[in-house]
Amino acid sequence: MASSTSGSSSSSKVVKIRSSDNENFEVEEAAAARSETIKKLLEDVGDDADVIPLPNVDAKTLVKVMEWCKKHMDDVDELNKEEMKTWDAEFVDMDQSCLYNVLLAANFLNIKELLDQLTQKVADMIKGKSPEEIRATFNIKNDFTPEEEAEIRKQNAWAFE
Amino acid sequence: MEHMHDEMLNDIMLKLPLKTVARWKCVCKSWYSLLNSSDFIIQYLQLSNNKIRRNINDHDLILKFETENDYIDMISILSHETLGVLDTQKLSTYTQQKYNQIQGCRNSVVCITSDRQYTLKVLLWNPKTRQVKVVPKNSYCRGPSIMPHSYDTLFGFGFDDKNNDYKVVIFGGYPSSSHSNGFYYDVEVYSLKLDRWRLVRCNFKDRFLKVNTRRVVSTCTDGMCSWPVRHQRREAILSFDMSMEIIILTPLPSRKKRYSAKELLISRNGPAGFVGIVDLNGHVAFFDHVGVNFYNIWWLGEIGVEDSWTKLFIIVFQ
Repeated sequence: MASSTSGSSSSSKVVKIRSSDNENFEVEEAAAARSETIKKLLEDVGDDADVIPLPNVDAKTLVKVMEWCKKHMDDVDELNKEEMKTWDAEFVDMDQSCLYNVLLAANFLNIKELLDQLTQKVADMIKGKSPEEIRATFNIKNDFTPEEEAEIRKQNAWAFE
Repeated sequence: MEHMHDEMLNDIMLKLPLKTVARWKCVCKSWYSLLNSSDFIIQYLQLSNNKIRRNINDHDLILKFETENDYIDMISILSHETLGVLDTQKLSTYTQQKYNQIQGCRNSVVCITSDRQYTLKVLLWNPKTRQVKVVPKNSYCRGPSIMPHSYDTLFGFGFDDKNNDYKVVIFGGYPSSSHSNGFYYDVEVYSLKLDRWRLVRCNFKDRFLKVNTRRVVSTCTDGMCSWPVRHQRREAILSFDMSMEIIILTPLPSRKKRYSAKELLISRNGPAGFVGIVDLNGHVAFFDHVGVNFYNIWWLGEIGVEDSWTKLFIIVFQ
């Protein structure tokens, strides 16, 4: 696929990005371009780009996201796939609030593969919970009448065994 | 976590096991409509489809055909992406017989049977490496040579993922003078690891089981081997748990559940009813012919649980 960031010659190029709390970072362009959002911005501004502001992502989260992007900058060959899997598993193993912030950032920065790994992690964390526990976790109000809820539970009784 | 937006929530839900999805339908109204929406179900299917493809590796489709002039059994492997032919091999090279049947495929291992003159040959074949394992006969068990004497024999092949073992299964009903209803059922199991057959007494005494053995190919999902049967005048799925080695029966949803009043009306004029079972993303699914050009697809959430049937799609052929 044609893109302004492909090819090894551009991998040494550096771009500047700024977090919501006004910290500047210098990142290799090939790493930053893992984010579709940044890639698009870079294409739009071309070489005139000074600093790309990212108003939705704080410094702490941005460091974390760029750590992932750097690791995933190059295509992984077969030999390193296992190693990468282990690295990814360790990467997503973070506390809940941090995980949530990185998830939001990955969504905003549009990094599909990272988003995929993070949503999988959240799914693994919550899949065992009962409907009551889920309401508490997501602060959801149960808007079914007791009769309606009983009916839905009856229809899906197999899932509660 | 409480401020998760819908889009992200959707992405997370897609990665949950089917049981969790079913359990969380009663969380609140908006989750109920999300988890029941056809958009969500289609995305969920596609995602699990991708997952399975990744595991199974390259070859998805195996096609058996006969040569036009001399009726030699051939086998072709088609790419799941392009449907192009990747490889074609002569089956008789391996079986040395005609009348070959593909009984199933698991993790690139294909189970082939060929029966001729009351002897059944069973082979496990890896088309990629061209390795062949001939399954031995066994004098203790009736082994694979019982076919002509049995009334209802079902053949299955699958993978026992708890013990990492490939297993070949023969489920058979046999006439007996010592049983009150004149009939008993046995399962014979071949384990590749042990390289021998064993007899599993399945205590399945019900004489109201009817098996249509003609061209019934088993479906193997999640360590279970399943066949379509009739039981007490109802259609059902008979499953054999590959690791627990037990028989489980799941009735199909009742006609009342399966067809709307309109569909029942259509079906009076056209062909209708159960067509066959398939493996759909690791679950047993069946096709239901509801009108001349209409098919419903039903998906079984959990084997043995009749209430876990869900209607997935309606297919219309024009």
